[in-house]
Amino acid sequence: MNETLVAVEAVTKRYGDTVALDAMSLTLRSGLTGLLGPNGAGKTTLIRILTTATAPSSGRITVFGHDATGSLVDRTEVRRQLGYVPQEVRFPRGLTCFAFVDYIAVLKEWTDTARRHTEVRRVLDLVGLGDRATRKIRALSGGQRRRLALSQAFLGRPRLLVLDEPTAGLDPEQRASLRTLLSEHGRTGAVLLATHQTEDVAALCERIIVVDAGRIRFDGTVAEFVATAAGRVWLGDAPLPGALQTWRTGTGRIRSIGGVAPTAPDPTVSAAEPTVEDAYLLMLGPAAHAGAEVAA
Amino acid sequence: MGMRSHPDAEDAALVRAMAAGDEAALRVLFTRHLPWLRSRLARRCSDPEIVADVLQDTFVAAWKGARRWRGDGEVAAWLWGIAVRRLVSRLRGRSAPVTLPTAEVEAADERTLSSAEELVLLGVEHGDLAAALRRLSPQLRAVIEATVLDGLTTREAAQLLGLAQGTVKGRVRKAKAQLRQDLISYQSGWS
Amino acid sequence: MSTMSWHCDPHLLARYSAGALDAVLAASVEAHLVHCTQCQTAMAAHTDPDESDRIWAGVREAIARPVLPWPVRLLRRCGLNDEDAVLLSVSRSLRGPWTLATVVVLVCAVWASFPDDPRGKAAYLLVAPLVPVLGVVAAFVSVDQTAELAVTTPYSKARLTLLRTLAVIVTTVPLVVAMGALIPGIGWMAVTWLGPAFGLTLTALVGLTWLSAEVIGPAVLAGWAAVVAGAYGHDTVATTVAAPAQLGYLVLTVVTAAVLSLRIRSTNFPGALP
Ligand SMILES: [Zn+2]
Repeated sequence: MNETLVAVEAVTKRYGDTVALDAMSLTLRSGLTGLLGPNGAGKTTLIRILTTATAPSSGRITVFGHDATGSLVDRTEVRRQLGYVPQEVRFPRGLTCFAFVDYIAVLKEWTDTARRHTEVRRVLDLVGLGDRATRKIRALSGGQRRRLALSQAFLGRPRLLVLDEPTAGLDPEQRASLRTLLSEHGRTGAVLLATHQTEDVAALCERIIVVDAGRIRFDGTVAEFVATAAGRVWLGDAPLPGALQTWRTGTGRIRSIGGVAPTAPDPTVSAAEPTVEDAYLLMLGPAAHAGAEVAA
Repeated sequence: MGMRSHPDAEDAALVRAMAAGDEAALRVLFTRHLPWLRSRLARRCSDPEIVADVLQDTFVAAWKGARRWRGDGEVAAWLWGIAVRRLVSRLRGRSAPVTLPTAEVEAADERTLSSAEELVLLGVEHGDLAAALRRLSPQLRAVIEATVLDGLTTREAAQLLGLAQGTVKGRVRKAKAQLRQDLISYQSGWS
Repeated sequence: MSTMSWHCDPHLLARYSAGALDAVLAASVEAHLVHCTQCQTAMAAHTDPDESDRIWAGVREAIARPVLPWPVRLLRRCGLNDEDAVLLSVSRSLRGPWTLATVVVLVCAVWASFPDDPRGKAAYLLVAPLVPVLGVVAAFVSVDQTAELAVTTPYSKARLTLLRTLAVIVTTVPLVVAMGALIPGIGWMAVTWLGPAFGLTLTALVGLTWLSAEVIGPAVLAGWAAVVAGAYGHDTVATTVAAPAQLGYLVLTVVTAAVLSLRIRSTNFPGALP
């Protein structure tokens, strides 16, 4: 279970003078990995290279032993193992849900019509769109379109599932059922989940990779990540001076993230249990959620 | 959202939802109408595989034709119209047409028939019609059933029963004359 | 209906569905069933749920199968397989080339009524090659939308490109050739326009690996219009499809085909921009 499924080695991507990825290296094993970072940090670029949508400027990516940056034959092998949900999926005009997924299924080499249709039905049911199969896509709500985009990624139960902001536009209930789906999938294959929603990562992932400005800032387990914020989150009667973020909690006390801790023992101030969100904020500062509204 | 939450929706509302592409509405309509359509078709065709095929075709046709449904008349009657015509075209060209089960399977008991409920059941004003129909020969009754009750044209009835059109016309004429004769003696009209 | 006070009792329905009623009684049960939702629902007790599920699965399967655009249905009848039909039906723009072809009919028909007018020939020569070219470009416009996804699927992009291109050519070229043959005064030009048509189609496909269809379409149109207009200005419309020009188109076709195959072998294919 712990063999390396995906290896990213010193991958750099430049767009003109801009460096989107700066010699990034990481490995993925089976299970769920959260890719956390503000917009423009390089998450989408990394994902597009990983899914063979674009080629890196330099470096190498190996997926299940095949070079994703290599020959067409190698890339095709990678694509056969891959389920991908881009950040934004636009749909061809005039199609029904079924027709769209059927089209992607053909592109994924499902040649037998009867088996393909059964599989299309399965993935539509999986995301709760079974009774919307014959609806025109334009008649769907935003959340339903997002689920439709998700459904095609599950065609053929791929060993590598890459999702870019999968929960954007979903309501809490749909978000919960997607989490169930992903955690089941994570038992047999590798799932990479790019997001800026720390609660998705906290709820699902064993492992967190934080990227910022094209570099990896953190790579480890969720527990290790949360531990980076230990002793830096406080509960008190007043906001701590210099705190990154403060708010009044349900108990009426003020929660402060970061800031200057009291030097002398203060009975009104106590250390609080940090969360993934706290650790994320402390690591990246106010830039952590930059551009979040744009993507959501 | 969908019709799944409204299993009691009126047929007409379901057909309108189908026209908008709501598969859940078709599911409700299917669940409601499949059983009686199946039994009714089975009385006209003894091959269960053909009946199943015709049922499938019927609901597919209803789905595709939902947009064209004008909203007048009953959905059930519309469905039956589709189903019986599908059956007719399915049986077209069969060398041995499937005959209606015209044999008296069970002798009707007079007490049930004369009851008030039975009159409503017949859907006709004259209780004598049942008796009159029963007095027809099985061949004549079959053409009356196909043309009057199922609403088929002479040509369709001929295909369903595996008869020549002329034969059907002749038998309809003969059956109506006999019914009229029968009912006149009870002072009732048949038109 | 709902106000009906009398209903079939379960025993009667059971006998009816077992085929145990005489014809008259059965007919009256049927007459009631058409109007009564309550008794329709009660009939469910006499139906095999497994059989119902089987029929429902069949219905579901049949209605999900999308209605193919009619040019695709036409190709399907000519032996196109189901997979290819699915791939083609996504780009609904196959209808576009037909509309264009109709325009050709109209334009040429008008000029054909003046057999000696050189504008008739010029118009045919201008429009005929553009029908397949713009058809191919249009076929890639609507699929641009899913290119990000399509490029990460294992399906051969070379085959996809070829399939879309051939579908447009098969549905348009015979029509335009037939029309040219019918219009008096067109003569061999009804066939010789195919030279520039192939050259321009491949040029457009290569262009689509770099730029969007919205740019490539007008660019190819403008380029060809300039060639025809220039020749028309010098009263030498026929030279644009004469032997030396044809050799040029052949070279263009071969070169662009080579570039296209190279582009497809890298991650680019028409419609998917880097
Ligand atoms: Zn009733």
